[in-house]
Amino acid sequence: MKRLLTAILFVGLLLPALMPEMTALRIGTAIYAATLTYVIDPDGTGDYTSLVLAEIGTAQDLTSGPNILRWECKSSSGGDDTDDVEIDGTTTAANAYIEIVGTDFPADGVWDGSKYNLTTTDEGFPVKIADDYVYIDKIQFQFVQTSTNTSRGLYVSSSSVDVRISNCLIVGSGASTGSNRGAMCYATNTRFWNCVVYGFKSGTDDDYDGIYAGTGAVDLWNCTFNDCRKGLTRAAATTTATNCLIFECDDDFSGTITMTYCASDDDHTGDSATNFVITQTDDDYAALVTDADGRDYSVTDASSELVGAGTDDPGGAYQDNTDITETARSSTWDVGAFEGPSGAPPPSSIPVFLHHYKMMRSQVVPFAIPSAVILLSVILFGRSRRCDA
Amino acid sequence: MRKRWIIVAGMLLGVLSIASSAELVVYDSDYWMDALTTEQLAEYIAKGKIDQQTYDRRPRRGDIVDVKPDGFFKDKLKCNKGFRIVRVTDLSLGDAAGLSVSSTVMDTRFRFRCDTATANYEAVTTSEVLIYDKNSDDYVSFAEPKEHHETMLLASVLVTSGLGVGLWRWRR
Repeated sequence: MKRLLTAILFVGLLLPALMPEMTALRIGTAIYAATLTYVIDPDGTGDYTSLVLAEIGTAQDLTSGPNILRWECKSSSGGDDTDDVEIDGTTTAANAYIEIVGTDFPADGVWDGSKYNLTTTDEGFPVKIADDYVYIDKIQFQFVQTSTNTSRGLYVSSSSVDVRISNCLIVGSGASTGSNRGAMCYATNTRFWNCVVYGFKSGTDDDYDGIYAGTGAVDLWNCTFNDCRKGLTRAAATTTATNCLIFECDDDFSGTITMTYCASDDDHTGDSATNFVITQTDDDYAALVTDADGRDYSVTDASSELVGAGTDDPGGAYQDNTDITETARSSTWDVGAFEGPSGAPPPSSIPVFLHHYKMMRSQVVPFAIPSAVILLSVILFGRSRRCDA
Repeated sequence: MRKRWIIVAGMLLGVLSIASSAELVVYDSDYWMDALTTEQLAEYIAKGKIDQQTYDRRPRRGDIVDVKPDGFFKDKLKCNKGFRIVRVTDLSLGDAAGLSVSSTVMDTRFRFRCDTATANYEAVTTSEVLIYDKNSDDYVSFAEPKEHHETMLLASVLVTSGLGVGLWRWRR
């Protein structure tokens, strides 16, 4: 028995060394010490005045150390970040990734131009993500197009592996004879949750989409779409939408999409009986959401059709258990980016903890198993020795 | 009276056209990929950590990465470590825009290189700054904007002088 325990202990100790990636993870569990944080403020109180300058100025090889490169964005005096950015210079891995986080994101989840926002009138690729592991949280994006311009919005390149976009406002404005899209996704995996997407419409121009799922896998959980020519368009990606609210688009869902627990003013109950058709359309959907024309898509009250109409935690480990305003989700989850009145505001530290816990859980668990083996072995081995004595 | 206002407006226009200027954000640091040896680069590419195109397009010291209107960075000079702000006093924002990042030409994202060593936030003129095409090293300079500006400058001086003389003669 003692030899068996010794062998287990030996293997447990050797395991991390035999698996270099896990060695990195072991060190990486001290995640906060390894996070490099830079502040972006267009008004000049941070480290950089725009995201593009931070991207160029702090690019590095994160895989040589288990680091997280975190760009915290705020606007201290209401200045906009108006520069295009391409995230393509940092070497990342599953345990060494880039976080772009808005630290002054509007608490009510409604666009606020006095908070940090990346607003660009440029055509082409205003925000291109080409690095592998990039996580964007609580950022306001606005893509303005006029004339014959073409904008690809948040363009997630096929060279990316894992891109997560959460709690963001993605807004289109202007009208052109070109195109404007909130996001175009070609990565291996692109995941959205708690995002609000609206305003991608120019007459009947079909090249206007809220989110365009090009290739790879695109998952959307608890997102809200409004006023787009096409809300969610699937080209060739494996696309799933769960707990999503899409309304007042000429075509809410375009292409073959696996959708469940979604609300739409088109009839998609044939795709799944869990979907439902919005009937609270009177007075600009006043009974459904607070102020659709005012871009406040929070749930009106407990009588809204969205309340309790979703399914719990569709995004599992990836998705926050809170909505875009950090209100805790409560069973059964509501449809859309906002949780209704039944949800209670959590203590402020809990969502942050849960967010980091969920993000790291999949990475920590593989290490936790050998660690537990080692710990158990030490306990048993020690007890065994005492018994021998 | 009306004539006098026209003259004043003309003089103001003349002065304003001379005063156009832009601030260039120039990358003033070594990029981390610069330190890679040939062997290391090959290893990075083999492991899929970076690709050749990303390496080839990496920012280089001297790249003009952004353009802003005059005065934008005046109170923000403590920010943007690794970058240098160059004020070009006789370059309009419109002319300068062509020198910076353009997402429509992804492969030539950082298109030009500014080789003139100037202090942070130093004011220079187009004649003091050399601009090169990053990819081909062909000399590009401010040739087109400069000609444009010289024409504008000459026109402004002529208009202003003419109006000044006219005003002087009219008052006599």
